[in-house]
Amino acid sequence: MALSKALVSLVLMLVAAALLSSVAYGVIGWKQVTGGIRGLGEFILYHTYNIYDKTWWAGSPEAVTSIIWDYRGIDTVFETIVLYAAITGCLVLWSGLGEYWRKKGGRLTLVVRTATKILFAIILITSFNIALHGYITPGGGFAGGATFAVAPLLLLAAYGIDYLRRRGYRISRSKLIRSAALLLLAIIVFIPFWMNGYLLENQAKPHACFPGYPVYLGPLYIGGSLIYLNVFEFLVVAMEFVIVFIVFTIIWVGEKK
Amino acid sequence: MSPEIALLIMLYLGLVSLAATVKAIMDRDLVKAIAYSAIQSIAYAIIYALLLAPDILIVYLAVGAGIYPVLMLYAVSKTRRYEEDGSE
Amino acid sequence: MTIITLLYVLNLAVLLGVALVGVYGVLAKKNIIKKIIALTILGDTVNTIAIYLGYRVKGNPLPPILPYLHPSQQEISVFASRAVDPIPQALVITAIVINLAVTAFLLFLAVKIYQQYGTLDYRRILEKMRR
Repeated sequence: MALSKALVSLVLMLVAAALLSSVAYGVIGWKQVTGGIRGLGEFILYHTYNIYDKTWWAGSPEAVTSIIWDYRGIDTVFETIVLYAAITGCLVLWSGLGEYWRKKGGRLTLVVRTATKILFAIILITSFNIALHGYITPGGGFAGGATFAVAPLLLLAAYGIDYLRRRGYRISRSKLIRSAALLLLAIIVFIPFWMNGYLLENQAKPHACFPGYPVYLGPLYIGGSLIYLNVFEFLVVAMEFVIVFIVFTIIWVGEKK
Repeated sequence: MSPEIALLIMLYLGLVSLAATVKAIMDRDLVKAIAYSAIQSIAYAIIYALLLAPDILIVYLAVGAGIYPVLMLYAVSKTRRYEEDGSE
Repeated sequence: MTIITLLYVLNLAVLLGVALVGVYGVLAKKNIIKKIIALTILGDTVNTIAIYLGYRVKGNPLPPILPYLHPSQQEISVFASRAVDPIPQALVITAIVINLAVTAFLLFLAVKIYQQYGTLDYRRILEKMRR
């Protein structure tokens, strides 16, 4: 039984590898690749912070962030939609919870609670830093949001779930911040479209007459539209993870057999 | 760091992740399987650092070693801990 | 065959081996949560293979981040010819986030299935469904 399933998985992987390589070779035209396949990558690396030739530049020296939010920005918009739909699906499955938190949480000792307070502040500051500087250093919206998601977990473990409710946290407030940040993200995406450019345009292009988001604010260097997009994406992702963890703590399955 | 040394270290990390994956799938205790999959995630995060991809390193460390084990431990704590008998 | 080519191919073989173990875990195990663990391992291994194919082996490669805020023309050309390919990295970040969304939803579904049927073994669930 185990051997037959192992053979089935081996055959599946061989079929997948054969299919992928034949599709890749077929797109090139069934000949050997000479000169490398990095033409598009070198184009983006050359033009992403080219201050001498500003036709195709993206205003940030970080090539990966400029690909995610400027050159292939629509992929990221759809990925945000997928994350939003998945989290909404989770909430719909366990609907009817409301703000009914029936668990009484237990607290850990004083040493753990003090260390958690310090760690929570450090994680908060680090995640803001990663998200805000997404256009200069590695990081960006998702990295900041995923790093932030660990912080309320520490609070839940050390202080118990009653503490959060007593301090005034409600699930509906997280949902409000998430929806507001998504709305602002949509506005930043649509402003170039309403001013005769195309969707998600960052800098001025020769074929579209949108002047482009400002790259320098006086002596301060902000990277076009990338800074706003990173901050709003950070808020969306962080609030979604907080909602997921709180809902997962509250749900109650019934007696175990 | 020259590419030869990077590829050698990547080979060692690949074998570590292979061992951790095999143990994760063969084990009956789900909590131990989650711990082995976290070891495999850490090996992959070091591979991403050697492949000069710092953006992915930050995201994958937070996701693979922080969020996945926590979500799966939540699910295991609400259901059973051990796989049932007769399972393969 | 030079040593670098041998190491490159060996690494790729090890990563494909891990993917094979992941596919076996999805097909052969009966517990639903074990299948979800194997699915996350498979997804992460495929992402690593994608980034591995974008690595530049000749010369000393650089990460795809320009470290100057006022670069000269020559620094930009050197950077563009020596840096690692940034396109697979951008696509893999999207893939990681989508895998995370799907896995979170699958875990909520698994807990709901346990609430309805009382077991997480898919054969016993099928028996209960047929009755």
